[in-house]
Amino acid sequence: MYKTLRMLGIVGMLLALLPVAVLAAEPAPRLEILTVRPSKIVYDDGEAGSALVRLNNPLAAPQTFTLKSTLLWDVDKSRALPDQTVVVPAGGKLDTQVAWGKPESKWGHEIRVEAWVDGKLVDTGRQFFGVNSDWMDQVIIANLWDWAQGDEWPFVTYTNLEHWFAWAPGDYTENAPAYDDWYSGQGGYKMNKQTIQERVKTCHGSGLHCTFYDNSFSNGVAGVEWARKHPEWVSRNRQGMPQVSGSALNLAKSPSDPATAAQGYVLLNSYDPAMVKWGAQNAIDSVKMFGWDGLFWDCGGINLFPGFSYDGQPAPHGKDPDQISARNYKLFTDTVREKYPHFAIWINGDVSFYHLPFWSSFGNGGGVPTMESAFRMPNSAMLCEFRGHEEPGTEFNNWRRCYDRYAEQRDTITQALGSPVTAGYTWGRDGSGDKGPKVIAAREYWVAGNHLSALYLATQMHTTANPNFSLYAGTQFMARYSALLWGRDVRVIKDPQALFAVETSRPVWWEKSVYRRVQPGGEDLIMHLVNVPETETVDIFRVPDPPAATATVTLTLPAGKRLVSVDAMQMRSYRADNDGPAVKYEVKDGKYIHTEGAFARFGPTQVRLEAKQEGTKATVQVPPFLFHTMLVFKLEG
Amino acid sequence: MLTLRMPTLALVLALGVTLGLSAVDRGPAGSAWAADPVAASPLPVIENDLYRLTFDPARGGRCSSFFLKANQREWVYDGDNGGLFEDHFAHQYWPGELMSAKYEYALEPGADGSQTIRLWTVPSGTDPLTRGLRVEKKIVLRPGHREVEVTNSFTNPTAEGKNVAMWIQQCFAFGGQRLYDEYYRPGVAGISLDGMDDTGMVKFPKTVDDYAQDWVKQPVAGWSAGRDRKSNEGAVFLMDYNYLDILYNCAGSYTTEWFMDKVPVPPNKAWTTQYWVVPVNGFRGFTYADRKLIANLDVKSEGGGLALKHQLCGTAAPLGAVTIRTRVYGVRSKQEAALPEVALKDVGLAPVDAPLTWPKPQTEPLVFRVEIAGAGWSEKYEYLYEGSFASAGIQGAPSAPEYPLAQPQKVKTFLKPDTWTRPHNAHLRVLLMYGIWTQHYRVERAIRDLDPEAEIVKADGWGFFPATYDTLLGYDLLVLSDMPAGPDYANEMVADFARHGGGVLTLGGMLTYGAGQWRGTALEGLLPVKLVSNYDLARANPDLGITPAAPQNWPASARFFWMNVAEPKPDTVVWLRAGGYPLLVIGNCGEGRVATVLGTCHGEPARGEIAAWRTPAWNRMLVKTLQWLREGGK
Repeated sequence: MYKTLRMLGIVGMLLALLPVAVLAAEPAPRLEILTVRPSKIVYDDGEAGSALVRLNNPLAAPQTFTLKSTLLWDVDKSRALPDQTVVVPAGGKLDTQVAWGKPESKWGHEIRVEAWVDGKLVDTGRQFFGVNSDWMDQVIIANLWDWAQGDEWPFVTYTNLEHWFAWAPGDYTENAPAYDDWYSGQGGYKMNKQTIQERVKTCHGSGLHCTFYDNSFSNGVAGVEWARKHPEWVSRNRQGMPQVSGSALNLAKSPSDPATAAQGYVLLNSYDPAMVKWGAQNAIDSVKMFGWDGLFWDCGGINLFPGFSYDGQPAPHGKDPDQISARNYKLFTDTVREKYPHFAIWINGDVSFYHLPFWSSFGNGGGVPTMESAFRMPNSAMLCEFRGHEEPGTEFNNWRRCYDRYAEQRDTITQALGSPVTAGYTWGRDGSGDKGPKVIAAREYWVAGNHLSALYLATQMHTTANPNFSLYAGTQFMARYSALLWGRDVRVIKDPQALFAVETSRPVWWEKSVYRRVQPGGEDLIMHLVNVPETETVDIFRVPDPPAATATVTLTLPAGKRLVSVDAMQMRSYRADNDGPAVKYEVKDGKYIHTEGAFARFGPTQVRLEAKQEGTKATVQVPPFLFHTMLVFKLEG
Repeated sequence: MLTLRMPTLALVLALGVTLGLSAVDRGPAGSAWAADPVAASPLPVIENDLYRLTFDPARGGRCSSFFLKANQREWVYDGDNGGLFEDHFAHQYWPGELMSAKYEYALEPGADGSQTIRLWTVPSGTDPLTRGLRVEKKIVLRPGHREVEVTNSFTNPTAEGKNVAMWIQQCFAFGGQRLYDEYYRPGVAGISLDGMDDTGMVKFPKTVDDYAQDWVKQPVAGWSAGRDRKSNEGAVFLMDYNYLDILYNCAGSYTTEWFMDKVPVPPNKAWTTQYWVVPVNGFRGFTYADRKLIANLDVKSEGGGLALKHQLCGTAAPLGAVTIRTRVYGVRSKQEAALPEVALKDVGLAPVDAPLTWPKPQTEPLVFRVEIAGAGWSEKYEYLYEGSFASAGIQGAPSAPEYPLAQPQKVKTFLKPDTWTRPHNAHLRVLLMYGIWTQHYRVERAIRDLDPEAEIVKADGWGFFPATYDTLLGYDLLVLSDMPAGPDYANEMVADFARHGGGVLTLGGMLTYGAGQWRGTALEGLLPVKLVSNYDLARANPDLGITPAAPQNWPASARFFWMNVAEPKPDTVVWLRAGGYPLLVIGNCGEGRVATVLGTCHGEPARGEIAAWRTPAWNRMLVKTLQWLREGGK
C-alpha cells in the first residue's frame, strides 16, 4: 500500500512537472551582441560616424530582432537612432551598421545598441569614442609600442595616439627621402618608409593619430649630413669645438647600412630663426611623406641650448634665452600649422622638480615664457616622465605622492596654461609580456592599475604607457567621460571644503579633485572620490581588492543655485566578477587577437543618485566603490 | 738582508705630535683593520718612524697595509680591493691584468736609512699593448719624512714600440673606517668636492649628476687630497701634472685614483713618473698642494662680511717665515682688491691658521688670488669661492664655469726612437685620418689617381692612430682630414713624421685647426699657416672664386662657402686662393712637407654656383698636392 501510494505520488509529481519541462525545452530567443565597434576611436569635429554591430545567433533557427541604438554623451545627453529590424541566420553571425551622422558635441561618446524581441531586452552592446579636431586634448593613451592590433584594435586599450621615437630618420626633423630603409640615429632601429606610411594609414583608418619624434639634437647619417650643410647652426663649446661626434667611417655610409645604427650626434644652436624655419619646413615635408598628425619634442625640444655660435658669441647673443626658446616654439608651430592647422605638438617636460619644465635641468632655464609659448597653444600637451612607480624607494612608489604630484602638474600646466599633461612611462609592465604566476595572481596588476587610474581620473591626467590590461578600465572611462575630465572649461575648485562635506567609511582622497564646469543656465560640480589604497607604497602585485568605500556627500548649495541632478560614474569592474561571459584574447606575434566573448558589454557604470535636500544642504549616498567614483552635481541658476 | 730599525716609543710620539696625527681611534670596536696586522707577516715590509708598509707581491704588488704608528691606525680596508699603489693600464677595464698580477720584488735599504721596495712584473697576456712591457714601482720611506715616494715606470725591452697609459688606484679610508671621507680635486671649475653623507649611502654635495662629480676631467694641477671630516685626518697625493689626464674618486667605494696620459715607449726606452703620498692632519679642506706646501682657505659669511682663514704647512719640510698675500676678485664685477697681508713666523709641518676678514658682503662669485712667499721662493694659486652665488655660467648655460681656471700648458719629454728609418715603399702607403665628412673630399680617389696600387689605411679617429713610431714611420703620407687635435703624444708623433721626411696633408672643416684645438699643440707648429682663432670657420663671401684658376682649370662658378681662416707663415707658398683667402698653402717641415687646405665642404651652392670640392679641379688639386708631398720624402 505504502509502495503504491508512493508510486502514485511520484507519477503525479512527474505529471505536474511535465508542462514545465516542455516549456524549458522550447528555445528562448537569444542573441549575443559580439561587438559594437565605431569606425574610429576619435573623429574630427562634426565628422559623421557609424559603428559595426556584429550579432551572433547561437540557435538553430533564424531570429528576428529589433535593434534600438542610442548615442550618449556628456552626463545625460542622448539621441535615439532609428530602430533597425534584423534577421540573424541560424547559428550564424550578422554584421550591420549603426550610423549616427554628425555628432552634436565634442569629447567622449557612447554608442549603445540594444537587441529587443517581443518587448524584451535580449542583449546590450556598448562602445566609446571621442570627437575632437584638437585631438591632443582627447589623447587617452599615447601608445609607445606597436603591438595592440587585431579585430578590436584600438578599442581594446583605447589607445588613440601612436608614437615611436625610432620613426625619426635623424631627429631634428631631418628626412632621408632618397632611402627606403634607414637606421635611426639615436635608437639605432631599422626603419622602412613604406612600413611607416602604411602604419600611419592604418592608424588614420581607425581614428588614431600618429606623431613623429623630434629633438634639438641631430643624429645619424642624415643628421650629420645636415650639419655639414649648416655649420652655422651647430653649437660650439667654450673653446670653439663644434658639438659633433660619431664614427666618421660609419657616418660616411648609406643610412641603410647597419653600421650607421645609433651613430653620430650634433648639438644644435637654435638662436637663428632660419634654423627653426628650416626645421619646420622639414616637418612639413615629413608630414607630406608619411602623413603625420604631429610631433613629439624630446630632450628640450626646440629650446635654445647652452653653447656658443660659430662666431664665438654665447648662443643667446646677449638676449634672454628663455625668450628665444619661446620664440622658437611659436615660430616652429606657426610655420607648420599654417600648412596643417591641426598639427599637434607634445613635449617632454617635467621630470625632476614637478613644477619646472624638464629642460631646466639641461641648463638654460626654460621658464614661464617658454612654457607659455609651448603650452598655451591649442592641440599641445606635456609629457611628464612619472617613472618607476613599481620600484621601491623611488619618488612615485608612494600613492599619496603620486596624487600630490599629478595634481601639482595639473595646476601648473593644464589649469594655468590649458594643455593637457600625459603621465609617461608610469611603469614598465606591459600587457603582452610577463604572464608569470605573480602577474596572473594579481590579475595583471588589476588592483594597482585601477588605483593608478583613479588618480589619473581625479587629476586630469592622460597616459603615455605600454597598454596594460589593468589600465583599460580607466582608459575606457576616459573615452566615455573625457568632456568631464579634460574639457578646458573644467576648472579646479581650490577650496572645495567650502562647498562640500564628505563622510566616508574609510580613507578617501577628494580634496584636490573637485572641479567646476560652467554650463548654459548653470554649472556642473564634478567631484572625484579616490578610495585610498591599503598600502602606502605602490605594490603592483597587490592581489586583494581594497575594502569598498562608501560616502555621504553633502553639498551646500551656493546662493541662487538649484540642484537639478546628481550622477555617479564608476570604471567598469573586473571582468571575471560580474561582467558575464569573459572576453578572451591571445597575444600572438605581438598582435592582440580577440578569440571569444563580447567586448561590447563592459563599460563604466552611471547611476543617478537621490539627493536629500534640507535647506541649502543636499546630501547623497554614494554607492560602494573599490577604486573611484566621479560625482556630477548639476546646478541651475 | 734588511735590518729594521725600531723607533723608540718616545720618538714615535714626538713625530706624531709634529705631524699632528691624532691618537684617537674612531674605528669600530673589534674592527679587523683597526689594529696592526703586520707583526708576524711573511710579506715584505718597509717602515720608517711613522709608517709600516706591507706589500703583497702576489696581488699586484699592492701595499696591503699602510699602518700609521703614531695612532696605531690602519688605512687599508678589508676586502679584495683594499690597498695602495695599485697599478692598472688605463685602456683595460677594471680590474685589468695588473690588479692581481704576480710581482717580483726586492728590498733595498739605503745608506741614509731609507727603506725601499721595488716591485715589478712583465705582462705576458694576450694584450699586445702590454705584453713584454716591464711594469715597475718603487716605494721609498725615509727616516723622519712623512712623504711616501712612489716611482712608477714602464720599460720596453721588446723590439716593438708600446703605447700605454697608467692608472693609479688607492683603495683605503682615513681613520680606520670608511665613513666621513671626502675628496678635493683641482679642476677648471674650481675645487671639486666629492664624498658620501654620514650614512655612506648618499652622495654629497647633491648635484644633478653624481657621475660627473666623481670625475675631474680637466684638472688644473697635479694633486688630489682627501680627509675624514670628523677627525681631519687626511692625505695629499702629488703627481706629475704634465702627464696627468683625469682625477677620479669613487666616493661610494672610498678610492682615490688618477689616470695618466698615454705615453709611447719605443723599444729599449723607459718612461718614469713619480708621486708622493703625504699623510696630514688638521686640514679642514684643501685648496692647493705641491711638493713645497699644502694650503687651504676657509671662507664663510660672517657679520656682514667674509671671514677667511688660511691654513698652511710645509709638505715635506718646514716653510719657516711666510708671507701670505690675498687678493679678491669679483667674477662679475671684474674688480679686484687686496686684503691685508699676513706674516707667519714659523710654519712647520702642522697646519697653522691665518685669519683674515673682508668687510664687504659677498654679492657675486669670488676668486681669491693667493700668493705665499718665503725666503727666496713664492707660489700662487687661485681659489674660486661661489658661496651662495652659484655660478650663472656663461650666458644661458649655468653648468659651464663662469670663471674657468686655466689649465697650465703641459711640458713633456717625449720618448723617441734613437734612429729614424723610413721604408722605401714600392707604392704609396697613406694613413688617412678620417674625420667626419671626409668622403666629400674624395681623397681616396685622388690617391688612387696618383698611384692606383697605393695602400690606404683609414683611421676612424685618434683612437686608431698608430701607437708606435715604427708603425707610423712606415707610411709615406699622412692625411689629417678635418681632424681635431689628438692627444699630445700623437700630435708630437705627427710632427716627428713630417720632420723626418713624411708628407702631411691637412684638410679643412668644422672640426679642425682652431676649432679643433690645434693651437698650442705640436700640430700647429708643423702647419704652413698660423692659426688665428678657435672660431676660425668663417662664412665665405659670395664672390669667392678660386685663383689662379689655370693650374687645375677651376670653373668660374666654383665656390667654397665656408673657409678656415688662417695666415700663411713666412717661407711658405700660397698655391691657391679663394677670393682673398689662402686656400692651399704649402711649406716644408724639417725633412718633410706639409700642405694645408683651408677650403671646406660646408654649405651648399646657390643657383648658378658649383661646390668647389665636387669639381674635377678639386681632384686635380689634390693629386698635384699629394704628388708634391710625396716628392718631399725622397
